[in-house]
Amino acid sequence: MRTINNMTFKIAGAAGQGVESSGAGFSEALAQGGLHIFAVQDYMSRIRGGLNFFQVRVHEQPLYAHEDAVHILLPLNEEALEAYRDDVVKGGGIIYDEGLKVDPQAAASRGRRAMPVPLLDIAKEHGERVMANTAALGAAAGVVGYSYERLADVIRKNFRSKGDDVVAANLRVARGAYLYAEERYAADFEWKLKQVDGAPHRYVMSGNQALALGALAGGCRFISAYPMTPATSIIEWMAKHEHSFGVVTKHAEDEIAAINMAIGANFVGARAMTATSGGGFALMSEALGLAGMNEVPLVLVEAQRGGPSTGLPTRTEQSDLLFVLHASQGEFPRLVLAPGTIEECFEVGWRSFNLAEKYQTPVIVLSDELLAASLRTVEVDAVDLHKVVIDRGKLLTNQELDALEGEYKRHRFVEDGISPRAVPGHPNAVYATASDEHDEFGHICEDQENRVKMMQKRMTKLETARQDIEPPTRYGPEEAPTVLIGWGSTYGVLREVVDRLGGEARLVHFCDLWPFPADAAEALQGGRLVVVENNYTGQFKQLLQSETCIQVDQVISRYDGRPFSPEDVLASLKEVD
Amino acid sequence: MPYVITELCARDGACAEVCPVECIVAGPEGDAEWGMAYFIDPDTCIDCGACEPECPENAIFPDDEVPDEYADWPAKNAAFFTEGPGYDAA
Amino acid sequence: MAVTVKDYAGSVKPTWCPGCGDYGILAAVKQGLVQAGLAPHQVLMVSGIGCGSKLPDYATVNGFMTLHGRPLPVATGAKLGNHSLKVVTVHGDGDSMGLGMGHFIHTARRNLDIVDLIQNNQIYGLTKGQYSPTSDRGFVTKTSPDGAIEQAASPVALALTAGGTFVARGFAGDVKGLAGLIAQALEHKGYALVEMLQPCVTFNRKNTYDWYRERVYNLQEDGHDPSDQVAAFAKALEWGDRIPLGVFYQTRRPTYEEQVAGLEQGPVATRELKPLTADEVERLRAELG
Repeated sequence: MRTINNMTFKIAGAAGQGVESSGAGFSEALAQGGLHIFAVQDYMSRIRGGLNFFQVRVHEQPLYAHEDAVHILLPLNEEALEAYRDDVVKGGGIIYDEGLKVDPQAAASRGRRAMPVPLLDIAKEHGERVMANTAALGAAAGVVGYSYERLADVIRKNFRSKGDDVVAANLRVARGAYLYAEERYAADFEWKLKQVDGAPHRYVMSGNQALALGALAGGCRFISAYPMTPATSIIEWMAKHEHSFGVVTKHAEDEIAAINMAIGANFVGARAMTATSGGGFALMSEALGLAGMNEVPLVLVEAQRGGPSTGLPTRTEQSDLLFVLHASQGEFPRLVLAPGTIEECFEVGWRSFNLAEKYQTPVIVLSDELLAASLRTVEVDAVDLHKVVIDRGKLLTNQELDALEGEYKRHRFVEDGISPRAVPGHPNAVYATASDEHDEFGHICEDQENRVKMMQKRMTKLETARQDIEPPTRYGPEEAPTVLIGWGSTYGVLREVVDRLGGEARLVHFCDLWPFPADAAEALQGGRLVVVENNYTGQFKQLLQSETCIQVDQVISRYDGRPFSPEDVLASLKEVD
Repeated sequence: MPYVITELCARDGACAEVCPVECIVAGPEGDAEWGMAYFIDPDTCIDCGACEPECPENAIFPDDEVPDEYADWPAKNAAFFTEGPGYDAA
Repeated sequence: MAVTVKDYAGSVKPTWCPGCGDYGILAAVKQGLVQAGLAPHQVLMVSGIGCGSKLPDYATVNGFMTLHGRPLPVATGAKLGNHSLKVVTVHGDGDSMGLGMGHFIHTARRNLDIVDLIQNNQIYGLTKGQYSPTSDRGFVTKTSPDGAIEQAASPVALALTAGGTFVARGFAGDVKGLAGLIAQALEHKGYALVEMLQPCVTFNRKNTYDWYRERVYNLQEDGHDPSDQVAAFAKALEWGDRIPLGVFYQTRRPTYEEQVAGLEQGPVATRELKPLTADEVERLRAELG
């Protein structure tokens, strides 16, 4: 009895042991063999010690979520083995260094198979101690019978910069461990991996990477940010492209500076963004209002993490929704998008800039640690860089500026609320605009009639923006009795749950959140409504109910900083039954 | 647009006291041509309006609000500093 | 056609109190811009919040009146977004030395090519008379009823410490002198601070025009060498009976923009914004693996 191309590996150890790099390398090797992967990381807010893991699920078919069941555990220390042993299914294997002080019986309890391998010895014999992780991956590949060549390709690529000797040593180590494990443990191990020949080339990407790529493709050439987990990799990705694409990246002194710099850059006509997490967004709230008041485009990525306050810095949550929707004093138009997949991150990456410039107002992209950091194989077409559209809305061209007559009105009253926009530099459009309430020219104005008209003008833009709001995505049979409702990163797990329930459930997933899609109610007709979200108070449920007056039947919450697994959601659904 | 002292001036001098840029100068006392008033240097005046409310005779006006009957006074204020004694009289 | 002060004349009558030092500052700013040969459309004035920060509203010039304490980061983003614009910040002592102190230090450190005009009236005017980080020790106000306890902050000294490459101080009562300093600041390549001492005629009865006139003297006339940083530091600490005006320090170091990788291709805002070329797409695809 064999299960081919459907399993999960879990590499775990202390911070500093190379969990992440090993996991990422292994994922790449699997993807290169034409397989689909979905990988989640779990790490602590520290540089050394503690417990981290990298969990990669593999399948022949596209994957959208991880699962709790583990088929091979690779603990790099005793603590990791203790902690994650029970995640391994019956018949699954635990590959560990012979030298670990582990009771093989305990490891092998409940039908699991202990697979000790002299990883350190093999590493030392063929290379160096530090290559023990490579040995572990070699052993894993050997047990499941996966192509050694795919692993070798990744080793060659990743260690190339360290020189031929290091590459050769790592290859010997991997090969040695591969053969050792294959010989002893492969024969009756249920789970096997086979390359898929002729599979198209695919990318392995994270949500942050996709967002940054989309932004760059969409013309973003300025990012100012302050490092904050899990958003940091966005500015780091952009920084790598400073020279090649002429991107100005500014690691600012704080988040208040970061958002104000992005506003300044947008004000003069650059496409600029900032990226942060909840705590940073809290600091940015005043300036958010500045952009709204003075009708300056802005793209702001908020990658949520466990709150409140410093909270769970490296963990995931969806608890800033209502905060983001309402932040800043007074009332002004904002758009909020919460992409659900890596592909959607790419699309939102460039689409958000068009929306920001078209409506001359802030656009907030809500992501979270799960989406920001998880890795998935995506089709090359899904991040089609040629399909990107750049739409600058009513930004005045040089010809239009040359033809301007009279004093320019930056905030001219217009039926759709969107005034023709000039950026400073042209002699026909010299203007000064105040964050105080202002008249059409931008001059400070406390007049009541003007105030009413200006407020209406700005808020009308939100109504106009409805034309660009996408309805929620629907997946699964329309007649299904249970309707799973999600937003942002829960798309993946809910899609999988729908598949597993085979007709019992369907998914309605929201990416565009504000203005709230007008046709939302229609999508939710007929069925038991279950909102699934990563927060305590049911924030999306509240939003849904206030916008549609629809009562939700159940809320499935998770607020321990970990993402939902399909098993979780299924169990919660069963509870109610 | 500078401020202007007109013939209503009674040489009180309060205006000169409050001027932040010290651009109000008294015409030499008894002088036939310049002795009847104080004068504001239009090139230095910063339009701050501090002098206007100080004048007991309401003799001072912003130059675009000078009444018709005093229409030659803007030029006279300027002339005090170009042709007349100017700051030397201070 | 040469630019004149009239080109900068605004259409809105200032709301400042009669006699306010901001009138002198407004006149000096316009004259300084003209002396530096700049036309209104070439300039972006970024201000904070406060009486003085309304200055852009009273002139014809590109302006953005932003948030209290935040004109410097907005100006930074604007300059990095389009460094062909002449960017000038205008803010008071509360704005720059209170809320915005952090941004002030970092902006000076960066040597961004902007002119930073600080209107220092040693009080909070628009909110009606509370003390300021630059108020003299012992200054009595509604929020310092027993007199200010802290050491006064000095924009000039802090800018020198942070690495400012042009550090000067002027006085709103000396419009010509101030205009000259502003013109020099505009011509300087790098971060240029002009601290502008000004009376608040309504709320600050201590630091009046007369009070300043009794104390200020000109550094240049006094023989100070602005290339001598050590001497500049010493002068920066001088306050009280004698208050130095003029250029404390000037040097030339590479500006921030001259070193930013992303600006090698020229100003961001003036580049044509278009979808990626085939070559750029190939490069990104190769990176993705």
